[in-house]
Amino acid sequence: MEQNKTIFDYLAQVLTIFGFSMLILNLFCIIFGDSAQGLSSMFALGSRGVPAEIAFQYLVISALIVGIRFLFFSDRLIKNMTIPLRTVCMLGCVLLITAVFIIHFQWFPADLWIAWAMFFVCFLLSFVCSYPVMLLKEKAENRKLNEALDRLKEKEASTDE
Amino acid sequence: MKIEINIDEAITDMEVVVTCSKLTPKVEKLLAALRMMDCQLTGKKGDEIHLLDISQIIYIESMERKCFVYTTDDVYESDFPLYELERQLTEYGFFRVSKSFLIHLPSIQSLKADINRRIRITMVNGEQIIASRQYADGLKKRLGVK
Repeated sequence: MEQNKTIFDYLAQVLTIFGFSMLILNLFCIIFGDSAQGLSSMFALGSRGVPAEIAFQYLVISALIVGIRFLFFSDRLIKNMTIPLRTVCMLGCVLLITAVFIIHFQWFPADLWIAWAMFFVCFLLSFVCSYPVMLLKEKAENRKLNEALDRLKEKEASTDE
Repeated sequence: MKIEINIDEAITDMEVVVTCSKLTPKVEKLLAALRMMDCQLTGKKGDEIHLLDISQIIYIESMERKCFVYTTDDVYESDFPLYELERQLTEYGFFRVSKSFLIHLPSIQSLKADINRRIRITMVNGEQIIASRQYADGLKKRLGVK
């Protein structure tokens, strides 16, 4: 029997998201940091790296994303909902929370439409890339399960004869 | 209760004779256990007692301390608790998939991975049963995919 998840499992998820996003953001700082220094609080230190307060903001948003994932991808609170609808709701909430963080912590100027456009394009791009992978993984798992079931049925039938 | 065993090498078919003054629940339970050894399960429907061939059973559900046996066409009540049925029927291709369900593996139509590492099981009669996360790993092991 599988054991139930503990707080440490969720903490591991938070730190994975946080670590990965910090890695990407630091890479962006190295590449675009100096040119975007005055434009965004994320690049306040230029190419020297991510400021500590931004790192904490990312830690909070990572925890919120894990919380949203728990809300939509466990049946503790929402019992009957299809997987595509759960995915859409989860992405909607993540998008909303990220937008709130962008405006509140001035990750980039709220009136800069090109920055918003880039944000939505990046979000859409990562969704377009990850969703088919998720679907393929699910299909492969279902195929594996049903092939194993067919093998079991054949075995049962041959022992009955 | 007196138990008498006669061993005779000339006998090809084993015969069990139960002699009693009346058909009490205890005797019925004994008969049901004997029938199970003969690939049959006793199921009640109203006042009638039916003999069900184990291969006919699609799944068994436990609800409010009662066990219901589902075949393609009908539902019967069993006197045995689910854990007892699980113990007796495992060797006939039955598998426990949640606290309330015992399913006949050859009666599964398809399997689908569900959220939270659960498995959605569609039985041959179209009924959908969820294998809870706690039991889904065991089911995968039984199917040989883990």
